[in-house]
Amino acid sequence: MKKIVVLGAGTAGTMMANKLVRALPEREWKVTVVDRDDTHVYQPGLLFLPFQMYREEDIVKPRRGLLDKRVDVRLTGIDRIAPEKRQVHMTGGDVLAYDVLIVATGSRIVPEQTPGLTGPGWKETAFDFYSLEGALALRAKLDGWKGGRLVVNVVENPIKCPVAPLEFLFLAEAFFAKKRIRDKVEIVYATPLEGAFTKPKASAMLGDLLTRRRIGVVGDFSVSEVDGEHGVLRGYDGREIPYDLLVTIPLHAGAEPISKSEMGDQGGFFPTDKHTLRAEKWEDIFAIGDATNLPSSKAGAVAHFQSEVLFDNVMRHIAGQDLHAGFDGHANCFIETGYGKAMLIDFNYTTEPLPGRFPLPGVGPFTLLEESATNHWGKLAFKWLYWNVLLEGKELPMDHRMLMAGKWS
Amino acid sequence: METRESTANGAGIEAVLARMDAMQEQMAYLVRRQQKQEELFSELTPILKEVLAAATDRFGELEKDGAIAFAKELLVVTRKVIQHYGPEDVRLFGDAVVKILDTVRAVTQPEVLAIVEEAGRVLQQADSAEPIGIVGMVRASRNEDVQKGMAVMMEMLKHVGHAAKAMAENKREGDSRKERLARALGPKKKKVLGVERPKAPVEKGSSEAREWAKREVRDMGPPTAGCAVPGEAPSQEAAATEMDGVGFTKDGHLADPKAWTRDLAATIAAAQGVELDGGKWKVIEFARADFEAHGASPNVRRITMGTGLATKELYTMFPKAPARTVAKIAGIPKPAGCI
Repeated sequence: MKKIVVLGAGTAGTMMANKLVRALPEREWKVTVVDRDDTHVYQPGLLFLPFQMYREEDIVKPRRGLLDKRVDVRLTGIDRIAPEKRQVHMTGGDVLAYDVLIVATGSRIVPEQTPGLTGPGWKETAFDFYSLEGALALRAKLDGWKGGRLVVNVVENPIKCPVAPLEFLFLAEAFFAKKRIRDKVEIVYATPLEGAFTKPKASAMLGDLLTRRRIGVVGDFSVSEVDGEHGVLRGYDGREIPYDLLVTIPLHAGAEPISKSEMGDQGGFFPTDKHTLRAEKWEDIFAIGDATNLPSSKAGAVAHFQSEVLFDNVMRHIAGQDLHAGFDGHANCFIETGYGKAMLIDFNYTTEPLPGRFPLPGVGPFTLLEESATNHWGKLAFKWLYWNVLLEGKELPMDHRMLMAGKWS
Repeated sequence: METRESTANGAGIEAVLARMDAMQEQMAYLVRRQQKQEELFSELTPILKEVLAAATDRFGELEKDGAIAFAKELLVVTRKVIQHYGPEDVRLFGDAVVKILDTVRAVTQPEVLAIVEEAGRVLQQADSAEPIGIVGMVRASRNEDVQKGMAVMMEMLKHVGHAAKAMAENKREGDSRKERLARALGPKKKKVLGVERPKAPVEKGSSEAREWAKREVRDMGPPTAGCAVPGEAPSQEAAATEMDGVGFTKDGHLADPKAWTRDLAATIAAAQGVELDGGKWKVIEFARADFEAHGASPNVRRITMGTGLATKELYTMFPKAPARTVAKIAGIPKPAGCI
């Protein structure tokens, strides 16, 4: 009996386990998934929690129910990987042997790595919305907030869902307008990049979107410390940004077992071939999703496109065939812009987001790089697709490669 | 006796249990499907509500903008059109189209084209033709070819005459058929849908498909940043300005990283108010190497991790926006996000 072990039962791990267990003969292959808990969070939903657009129960489900019954589920922490012995050590002391290992351990936020961030004021005047606890705490805060200076700060890239900070700004602006306290709120976006939009086409088309919503931007800002007592962000270049309410997108890192096994890069991300998704150093290890060090976005859509390439390559590896260098960095995502509208972007390693229609060229119904209500409904409807189609590893009517048709530059 | 009975019972119970198991599995499947549908329903209800609300708003706006009044006017126009043009008109129109198509087909027959070509040649020699007078004409009309030509011409003139008569009869007050036809057949604006990527051959596994797949991989070129790490603006911006024959983007970055030299770096650095020393060169070299290896310009964190410098030291070396300044001096694109 041969064994495939999948580390992590998030979006990528769940999809892979379900796809593989259905494709491989049950008598020859055993598919095991390891995760430390039984709580699967629909991470795109975290953005909506603070604004009372979703409830907690909308975005949380037990992991087991999302995995095929034939998948062997182990709910335990992972201590380390021993690639030379083809073994995974659990925190409880158990050892799992594997023939093929899939690293889908995701990424995590490490707010404690920014001096002062988790000190005084943490979860009182400074919040994150990248964790369930953070988003819920922020929701309670926003519910009673009377106004003041809201600062949204990206500490440093890479981050999960790179457009989420922008979406947060737009939704917050609309939220305050609806609460009729917009005039009492000043909104500032502090980013380590030059500005909110850095790609030529997107800057040209969306450059004034923040101005129109009266959202200020502070560019080239690298935060050196957070002074929670006085409510001030300090930059390495000496600039200071005062705040009444700080929403931080903290530093991201790979999962601990990867660093502990000394298999990751300095950020704890797993070195992975950009096109085949195989580990750079080991023949029988593959990686997918946020856990990788790939320059593609850390987002569910990317994990989904990767899952099709990875499934193909794991099957090829098992059959002793050459791998297919099929992943092109394809990503797409809805960007909520508030007031019942959203944008959609579609891009890959080499092509910047362009305007056009998606997924049917010329027809849509979704509009690329342009606000529309249809996009917003698409984003809302995606939740059902996620729970019931995507995670099951079923095909979506879409190619994993990016198409130029339907885009205009 | 007792044992036999219990075995029989045992076997019976097992069979029943097996069936129960199977049924349970079926039930579980049905329940799951039911749950999914319920979930879809509860998911879609608020969305549909929003859609309806938005549609209502939209109609409200349309009303305000006078669009509905416009639509009403449009209806009046449509009715007028219907009153003035009966089904007979449409039939005639169809006939006309068929005739046009027939004519086009007839004209493009190879034989006809050959005649036209011949005629063209003759016309080119028309200069050399001399007046032949009445007598000459009568003599010429005995020539068989001329007679044939005359017959063709007469036949054509007859058709033109018929057509002219029909047109005159069909002409109605106010609007001429010609105008109507011209409007109906008027050139339509072609929709531009963007640039199509070459399609992969449909048959999977064919050698052609494999070739195509290979080509696609090559076409991808060096992977640049998607979103996660700062990266190259993928469509290399055209040089906006030139300095000593070297192109720069409008952000002040070298348009082509390959055009970089150490001398150029020193010049750019001086323009940024930075004097390059050993430590700074190490940073510049790291940035270039990292860009070459990953196709993306490094951000502050990557530079500090890669060079072992503390962030504060990096800021002392390049006080203002270090990642961008380093990228400028290293001749690589500005660090960028995904949008």
